[in-house]
Amino acid sequence: MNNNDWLLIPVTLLLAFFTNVMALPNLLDLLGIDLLLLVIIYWCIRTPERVGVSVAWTFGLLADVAGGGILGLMALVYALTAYICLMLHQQIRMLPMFQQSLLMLVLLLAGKVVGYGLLVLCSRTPSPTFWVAAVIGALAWPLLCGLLRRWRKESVHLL
Amino acid sequence: MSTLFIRGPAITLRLLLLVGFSVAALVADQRYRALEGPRGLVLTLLAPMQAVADWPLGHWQRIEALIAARVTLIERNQQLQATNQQLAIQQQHFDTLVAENERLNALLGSVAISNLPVRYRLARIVQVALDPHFQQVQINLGSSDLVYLGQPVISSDGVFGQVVHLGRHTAQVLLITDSSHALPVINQRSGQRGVARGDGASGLLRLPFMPAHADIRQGDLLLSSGLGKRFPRGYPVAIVRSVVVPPGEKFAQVVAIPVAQPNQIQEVLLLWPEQSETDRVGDTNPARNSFDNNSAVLPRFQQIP
Repeated sequence: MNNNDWLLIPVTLLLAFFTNVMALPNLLDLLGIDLLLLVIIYWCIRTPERVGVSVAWTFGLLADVAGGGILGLMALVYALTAYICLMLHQQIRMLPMFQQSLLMLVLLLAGKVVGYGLLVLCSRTPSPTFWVAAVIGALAWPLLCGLLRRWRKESVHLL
Repeated sequence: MSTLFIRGPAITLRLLLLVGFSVAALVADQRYRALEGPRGLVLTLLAPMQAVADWPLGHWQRIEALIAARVTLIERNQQLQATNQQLAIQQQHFDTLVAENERLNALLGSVAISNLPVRYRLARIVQVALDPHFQQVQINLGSSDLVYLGQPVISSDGVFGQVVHLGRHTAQVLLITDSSHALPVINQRSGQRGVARGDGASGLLRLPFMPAHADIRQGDLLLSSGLGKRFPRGYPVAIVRSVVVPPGEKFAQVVAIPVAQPNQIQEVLLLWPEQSETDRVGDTNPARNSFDNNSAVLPRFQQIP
């Protein structure tokens, strides 16, 4: 348990949300990586007593409004993903990084399936890079973990 | 450790509750458009963050202008002056035509329906990431600038879209090419009426239920007909790209390219259309009736059905 997670959690969540809001040049936009969801997953696994389904849902709803999309879609996907992470957080922590990454792929794809269903229900055609984003998210997972772990350790030294 | 106690029915219960909320929000928003108020509130709160996110890309033009060479600036200035003179001359002609049109209408004794908007206002397209499943843009004006839901938005080329989500200082505009958007059009050449539906990501428009024998050809210009009472009439919408009549079908497959191409546009015009005479007759709302060209205060929600 870290002492200054109370600072790091909101800061990283807001930063991730900011990257979601920011318009990126076309190439980066195509990657469609959902950094916000990955950060939420990370905190759900690391500090499940602080970040849970409610936080995930709230940020999902904010993302929905900011993007002008279907209200409640991201909120639902985020909350479901966070729930699975909370239930499995002890097992996930034990896994080696490669298997974690694989698990993230399954988790993100599951979220995409829910999102796909809701999009089709609202008679929207999913974008061509819809599924690719899950793969890229899974690939980015080890990087994100390394980065956040370093920040956590460094912020311990600061205090 | 406290982490041992986080699992259990409490979390499952909370999840179920949140899933319920999500589904309720989804239905209320998509089916009944009932959540525009809360949406606008959150959009207002998010505006500062979006403004920061917009800065680097949104102000790129200004930065570019700073470093642009003097020669290019002089050249562009000359071009603009030439265009401006042409427009000024056309404007003179136009004023005469408007006067003449009004006189002729008066002679006919018909109700003069002016399609000239009372007020325009330029809005900048904000560079923020929006849901890729919708054809939409965000602009830098909101309800504090008297923008209202459903307000028509045009570009210098033609009809662009309409305001769908409204914050205090920002608004999200649905393009006419979005798959949920449709607007009534009229063929400038033949007067044939139709409805132009957005085709989504392809950026095209389709005209469903156009009879196979309808007088519509490739290259025809489609104007807004004003029948939907949302867009003022007579603005260019699209140019017909292809008309295909499959053998044995009753309807033609008509595809049109919108004249306003969102990728090339950085600024759009918001319109505050004038209430037509027919609308004013029998209108009991005093705020609407007192609305005239000179009033500084515009009724905010006059176009909402």
